[in-house]
Amino acid sequence: MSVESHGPIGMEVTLGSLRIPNPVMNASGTAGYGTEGLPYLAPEALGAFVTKGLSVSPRAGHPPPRIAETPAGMLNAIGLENVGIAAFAREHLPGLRKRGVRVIVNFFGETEEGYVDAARRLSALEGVAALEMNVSCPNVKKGGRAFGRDPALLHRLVRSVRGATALPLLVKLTPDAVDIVEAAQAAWEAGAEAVTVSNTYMGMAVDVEKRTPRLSTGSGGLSGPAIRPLTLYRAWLVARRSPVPVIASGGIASAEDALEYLIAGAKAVQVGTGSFVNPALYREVIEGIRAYLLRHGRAHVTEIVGSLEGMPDPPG
Amino acid sequence: MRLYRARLEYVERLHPELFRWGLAAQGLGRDAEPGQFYMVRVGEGYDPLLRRPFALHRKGLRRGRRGRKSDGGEILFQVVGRGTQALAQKGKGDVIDLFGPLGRGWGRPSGGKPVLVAGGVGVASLVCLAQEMPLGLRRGAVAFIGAKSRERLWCVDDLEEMGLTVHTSVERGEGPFRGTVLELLEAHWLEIAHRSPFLFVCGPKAMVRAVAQWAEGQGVPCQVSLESSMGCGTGVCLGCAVKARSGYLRVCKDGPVFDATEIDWGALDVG
Repeated sequence: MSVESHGPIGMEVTLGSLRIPNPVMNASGTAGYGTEGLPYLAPEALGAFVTKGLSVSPRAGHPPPRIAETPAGMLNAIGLENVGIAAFAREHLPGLRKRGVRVIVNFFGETEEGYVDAARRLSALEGVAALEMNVSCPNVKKGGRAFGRDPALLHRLVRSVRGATALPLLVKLTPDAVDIVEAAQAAWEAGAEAVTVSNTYMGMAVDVEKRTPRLSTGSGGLSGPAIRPLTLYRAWLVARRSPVPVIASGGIASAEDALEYLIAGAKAVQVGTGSFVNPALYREVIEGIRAYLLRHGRAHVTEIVGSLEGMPDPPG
Repeated sequence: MRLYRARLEYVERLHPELFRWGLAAQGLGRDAEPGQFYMVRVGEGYDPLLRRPFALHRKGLRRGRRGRKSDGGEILFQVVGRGTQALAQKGKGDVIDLFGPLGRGWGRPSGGKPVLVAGGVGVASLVCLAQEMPLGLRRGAVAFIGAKSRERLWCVDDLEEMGLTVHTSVERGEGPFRGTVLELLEAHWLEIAHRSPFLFVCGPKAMVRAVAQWAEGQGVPCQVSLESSMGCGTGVCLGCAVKARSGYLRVCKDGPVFDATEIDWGALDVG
């Protein structure tokens, strides 16, 4: 991957105070901590690398089965298993710093105080470029998605975290919010510099022979190409109705999929489940966007952001 | 680990549900250890979405069956669902997209007597283990293969050709030994027990658990290869967790081969 040499095509984008050299990231939880040595993932070649969601204390996660395949998608109930912030700082962050990776740390807490505590600890570390608050995980009872579904709660939570960190702050929304535009707007007004639209969709699958759920937790988060039209609609809605910069994440499996999001108004994209199917996807998306810009005579990726034509206003 | 677009050189249908593929690609199989696996893409589209993990069954292609490319390997798979059904439709000359080798394979036997214990298609990676054993060790090795019925006893001749002594059991119908593979192993144990045996076990979860718990009771060293559906295959999605005595481990990265004493057998869902 050679994203440092841009040639004639400009790929850098800004998300609030965060400036990244290209608009392609990985989605949290689909590429570990960036130091696992995946041969087709050069984390420094991405616009930014997003870590697996971290909490102050390590978490064991849910019992198996944790994943179930569904049509063009997969359900997961990992349960936010993670090594904890201290172990991340000790074992993974130094390697990422050495490689010059722009690190976005995805984090969560079980309570408002937990979120603030995590944000403070992460802000004290050298080598973190930005924080992505997870207020959208469908797989934990406490916190997470409950905050993301209630705009008033979300506003309060984001404001508290905003007060605890000087780092660029992104908020990852749940698509299951009653009104995702309201949630995005609440995060923006509370000081978020961008929103990620969005996390997985709550779903379930049943083993009809056994008449039991296919996940140990019964329900879990749906990802993969199956969700792309749903998330594209939400990303477009938020970009259209709110001034908050949008990072789109949902079902990207090709450069064309990423371009759909950019044209619909997202300033950046995250590649997740698709990289399980195609480990070379990150590079293909970055190169595919550049090739598209070249083919369409565009000098900079921002020229196509929100360039969708002929789209009527959203209903309501 | 590398991505390969391999040519399917030959397909052998050993049973209506069981397929053996010979795959050829430059470099394929060279860097693989017995017990490691490859993630195979089912089709060009996204349904079924996820790759399927298959253990390396044999390094290299069979004599007289290799094409122009000399690198390659075999996988052995049973049709169990939509993904393997789709793979069963592939034919000679098709291009197969796979990456690997992945995970932790079988630990090297250091001496004594290797005892291979297989249930059904679990024999797949044990054939590779036998193939890669030093000759002296292989000639002293013994294999116990169990299956539901006689026509599902797979790879007996492969192991015999490599010089192993093979015993078989069937759970129903005619056979030299009627019962589980653990009962078969117990029936022969007196011949083996004094020769520093160590066990390599792969098969259905309930069978693997039974043999592993028995081995622990006997104080015999035992490695097991576990199977799991997987998301990424590379250790990052944490989808294939198995409960170990120390917490959750990943079948794809910490395994698929584990020391039997690592696993919390009481927590294993044997379906």
